[in-house]
Amino acid sequence: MVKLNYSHILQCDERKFWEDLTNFVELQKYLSRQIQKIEILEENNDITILNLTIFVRSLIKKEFLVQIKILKKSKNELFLEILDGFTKGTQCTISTSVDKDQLICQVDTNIKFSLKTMILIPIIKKEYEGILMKFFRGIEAKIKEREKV
Amino acid sequence: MEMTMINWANIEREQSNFKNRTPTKWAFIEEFLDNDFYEELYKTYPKFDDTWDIQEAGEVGRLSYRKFWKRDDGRFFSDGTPREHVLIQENDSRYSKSWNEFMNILWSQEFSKKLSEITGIGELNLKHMNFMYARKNGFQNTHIHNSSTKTVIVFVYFSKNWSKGDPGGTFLSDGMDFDAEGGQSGNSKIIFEPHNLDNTSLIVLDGPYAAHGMRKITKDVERRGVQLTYESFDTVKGWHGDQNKSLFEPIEI
Repeated sequence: MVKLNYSHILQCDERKFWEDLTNFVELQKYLSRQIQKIEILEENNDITILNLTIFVRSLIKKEFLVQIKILKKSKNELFLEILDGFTKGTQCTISTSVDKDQLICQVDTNIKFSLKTMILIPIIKKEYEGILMKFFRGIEAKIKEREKV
Repeated sequence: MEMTMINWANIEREQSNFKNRTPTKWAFIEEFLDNDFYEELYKTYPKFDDTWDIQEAGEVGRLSYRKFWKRDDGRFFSDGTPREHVLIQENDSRYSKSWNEFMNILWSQEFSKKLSEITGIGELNLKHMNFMYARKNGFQNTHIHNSSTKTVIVFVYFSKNWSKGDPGGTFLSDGMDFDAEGGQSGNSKIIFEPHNLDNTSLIVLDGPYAAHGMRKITKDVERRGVQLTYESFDTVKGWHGDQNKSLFEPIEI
């Protein structure tokens, strides 16, 4: 299990941020280099199961599918769990809170790797922050763009 | 190749300064390019838009923008460090005819050989190229690449009417604790900062002492430039800075 944490000062409205973050199919646009497609398999009250098609050719030769269960724990907290594949059991909590007038998004992840893919750990550790920063910047930019119209 | 587009006499004049400076070797060249050619490059410098990559993550505090020439996949080294994308020495149709001409000069054997003579670093070849852009509030904290002791960084500037003393030119400092954002600095001080960014170039030898950065821009201006990284290249051993590193090979799952 590898624990990785990231916090991001959000430069956008909290309600709009959660609207965009829970518009799951559209999230592919913010990580288009890594995620090919996002499909909703099931949607039931606060639980959504997604199928992600991922292709990161610098790390893994072929594209692969991952099923993720997402639980809306509250209006400002999501809990994610990977249900299959080489990172089965990986868990992630995304939450927002206000600290000293700043809106902070916290992403805490516990990644489980299979024996074969443990070689990826140093790369994932180094890339974690950069990928998430890009992801959140993308959401913020999209919200700002909509506000201009 | 039109090597006359480069003002070699101005560069050669700085050769002894470059070689004699210590511990970091550097030189600043005024009127780096032929003026007409420079004006063409100036006019067709890529416009700032949403195709530029923002640079703000990582260990070094910064806020600036980059745009790249055609380059390879990048990938990773086995220890997890990212392998920086290497330039593909081919024309790139996203950029103007003049910029393609300029790049053809910059990766030519004649240019690399001449740069090797001037810097004393043999077998130089062009490894990376990016357009650098910054505007108000842009900065880059003091950092050292230390890619290798046979790596030469060439900055070329394309900003007119830069006022003396204004931040934005790449500064060189004698240590890492100079605060480019204007906060409290340690003992380090700036040893050089260009104030003419109009057809000028700063050439710096990388290595463990080559601390540099960009002070926070306070005016509503555009700081436009390019960063070129030349490195000693051996057809068998590869790039000098990569020789003790193994490339991560993508795995099967």
